[in-house]
Amino acid sequence: MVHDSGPAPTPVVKLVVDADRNGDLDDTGPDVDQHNDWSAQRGAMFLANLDDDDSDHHVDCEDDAVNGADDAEDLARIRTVAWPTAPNGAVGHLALDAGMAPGVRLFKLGVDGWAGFNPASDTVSAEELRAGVEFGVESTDFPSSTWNGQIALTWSVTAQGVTADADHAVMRVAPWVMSSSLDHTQQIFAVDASYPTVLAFTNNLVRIAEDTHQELLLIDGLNRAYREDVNRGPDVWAQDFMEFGWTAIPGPNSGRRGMFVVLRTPPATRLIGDFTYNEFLAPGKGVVWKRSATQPRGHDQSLDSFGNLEVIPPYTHGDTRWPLGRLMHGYTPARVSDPKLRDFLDANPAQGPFFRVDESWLHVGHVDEFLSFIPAATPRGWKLLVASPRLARQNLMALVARDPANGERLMFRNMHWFYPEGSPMAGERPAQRTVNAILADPDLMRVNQVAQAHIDTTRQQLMEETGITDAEIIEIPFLLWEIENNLLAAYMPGTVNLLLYGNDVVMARPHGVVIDGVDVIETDLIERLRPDNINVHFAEQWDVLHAAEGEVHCGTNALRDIPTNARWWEVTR
Amino acid sequence: MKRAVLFFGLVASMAATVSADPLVPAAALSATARQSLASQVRVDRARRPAAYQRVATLHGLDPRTYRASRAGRPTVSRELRAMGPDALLPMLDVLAVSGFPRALSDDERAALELGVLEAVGELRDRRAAPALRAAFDHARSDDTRNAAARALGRLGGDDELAMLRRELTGAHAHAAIVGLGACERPEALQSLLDALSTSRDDDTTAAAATALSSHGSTWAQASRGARDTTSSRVADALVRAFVRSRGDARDAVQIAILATGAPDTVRIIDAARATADADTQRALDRLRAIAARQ
Repeated sequence: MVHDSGPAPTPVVKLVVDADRNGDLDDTGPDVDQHNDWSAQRGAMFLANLDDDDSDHHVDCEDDAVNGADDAEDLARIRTVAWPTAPNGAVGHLALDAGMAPGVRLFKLGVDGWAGFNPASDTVSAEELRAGVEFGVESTDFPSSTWNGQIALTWSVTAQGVTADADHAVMRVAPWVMSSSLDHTQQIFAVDASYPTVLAFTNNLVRIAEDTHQELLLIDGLNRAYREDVNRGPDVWAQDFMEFGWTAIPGPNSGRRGMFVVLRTPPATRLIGDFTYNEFLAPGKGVVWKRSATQPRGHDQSLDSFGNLEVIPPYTHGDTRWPLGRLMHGYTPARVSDPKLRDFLDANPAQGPFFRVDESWLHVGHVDEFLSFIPAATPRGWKLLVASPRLARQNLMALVARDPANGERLMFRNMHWFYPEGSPMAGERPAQRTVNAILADPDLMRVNQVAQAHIDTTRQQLMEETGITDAEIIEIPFLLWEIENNLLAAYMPGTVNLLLYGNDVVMARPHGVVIDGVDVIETDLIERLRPDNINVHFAEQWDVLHAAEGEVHCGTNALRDIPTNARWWEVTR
Repeated sequence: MKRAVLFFGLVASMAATVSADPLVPAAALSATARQSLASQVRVDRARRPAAYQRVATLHGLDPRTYRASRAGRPTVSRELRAMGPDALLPMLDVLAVSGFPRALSDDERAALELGVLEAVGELRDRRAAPALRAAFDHARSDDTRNAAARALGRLGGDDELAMLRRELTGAHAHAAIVGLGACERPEALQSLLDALSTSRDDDTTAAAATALSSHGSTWAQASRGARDTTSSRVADALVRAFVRSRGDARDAVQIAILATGAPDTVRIIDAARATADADTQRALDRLRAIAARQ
């Protein structure tokens, strides 16, 4: 019944948001009564709508329209409690305080479907007040140092000249969560091209993927759109130009709603990074890109590559819980990555601020050159793998001690250092060297002792950070060497730089000493990881990756499932 | 073969006539030194044009090569070092006589300077001394000056040692420290120990510590089959510096202690701990935990 005269009906001014996080808007309880603050236990959420549900090759939140039914599913819902007795002329106002948010949009569901709602000018009619009205909200971005992701909604109603007490609700945007290497893998990636050196690796990878029933996507590295210059070979560093993650909020039946989101590397000049927009962006698959307009002094573009961004798997240490793990990124004050990238990582409420690694001693400067992780049957559920020049040196010395004749055996037999395809000097720089020559090289030994010092320091820092013990750390033996200016890279193939999916790892073929037809380093690595039920596969990648200062992890990538415990909202600091 | 020699000779002579600035300014060498070097290069180039061609066509300066590498920037140090003694005069030609026969980007030039100085330094050939000294005096960056200093240190003659020790109180003290780190003479070690113990700033402490770890490296000494005569002495000085320093300087000293790997590092740390304040004891405990694993 609508009243136009007599005493004014008591207004119903109530918002309903999913404050109890069950994926539904409930007419009673926290969704109605306890939505004015946000905590690990309670508070509504919304998504950065970065996928492309209408497949128009644009991120959905770039426009102010709801792009179909699937896009509507990406809107977090807000409902007003119906006021059936709202008098004619009553008006509802939904105000939005988004702070420094780069973009938050509201939509209203009407008889004709979804339409943009401008809180500064649009209102809710009396008819809509009587029935209750539904809104949808999306963000154009994730939290940053200037916006913690929170918005405040104020719902007020004015009837017969009187504005009733408003209702307030807060909501937070779900962050980008970077996948851990321990998360279940949907798909692995590598860059392909019809160059013999590339094919030597990708053919290996195809075989390994088939043997392990793992889906592999090969990206066309000769796609003109991904090359600055037709005279330049493919950009084979699949790890470096994109990093996979996801974003999600609670969904119905204690599930979740969300999407995969890939982070593109900052430099626009890294053309293969456009694979993220050209080929990955799709319904349920979004893209985010953080880049600064100008770079500070000391910026090194190499640090913007995502071999320099990893996740320490989930851990709890003391009072600190990281149920989705913690981001790990390398830089020092003198050698920095893109500031916008670091800001984005640091502002991540689920996995940030990132754990900083000193990689200043490395020529490429990526954390994946000396650290990685494997699943393990331990209370923590994982082990840390660290490069160990010390162990490599010990192993070579032991080889000679076992039989002095081993000292004259060759490492890297028939291998050469890198030249581009077709170079007339290709193959001129042989890499093979005897064990004795390696051990008798004082400069090589000196820089490896320096490398070990850095690795041991980072190892100690990780132990203090995560509580991990020596028993949960596996040393992976290989030597490094100086590239220039006391900056190092792997001299022996950096086998710690591996691709992990499930209990399978793909490592660089080490080209170690071969005795009775068996590579002793391969045998050592297989045995080293066997206690943790890791299946080791070796891939040939000396020419295309190792000689160009990278290894298997650098040349691959993986799209991983959103974990079942994807409850980022329970992460507290 | 004759035809090939003639062809390469023609190419080499053409390369020699292409205008290019040497990495070191012409006026940086004495006229005598420059003329002597130019004369040696002229004779050598005529005799071995292929060696000059190799240096003139460094693949590490080819964008097809370096943009394909993971670091994505030019580097030629390893490539030049692999050429061995054959490349000495061609490199000195690039450094101080003819320069490089094509225009280079800033990154490429910096990589070439660094690479040439590091590769020349590794050869320890006294013919390089005047050019290296000029490179030290006229370096356009700290990295280049440090590379020149290391090369001079590796030469390790009386003149180089005296020059580096003199520079410890000059305008390029840190580069001098770097150079002394590469000099295997006991006088260099003593100078570094003195520099560390008297250091009043973090940068000097860090530089001296890093340089000392080169002298003390037990792995390097073992690789030479030499008896370890320096690591304990170096470790002792470094641990004392660790106690005195803070922040980035302490971090650098820690790395140096670990990179030295003296067998009695733990004992030295324990001795220092006995008289340290509580904060320093905690830091020493962390260092000890790492050192104990070595």
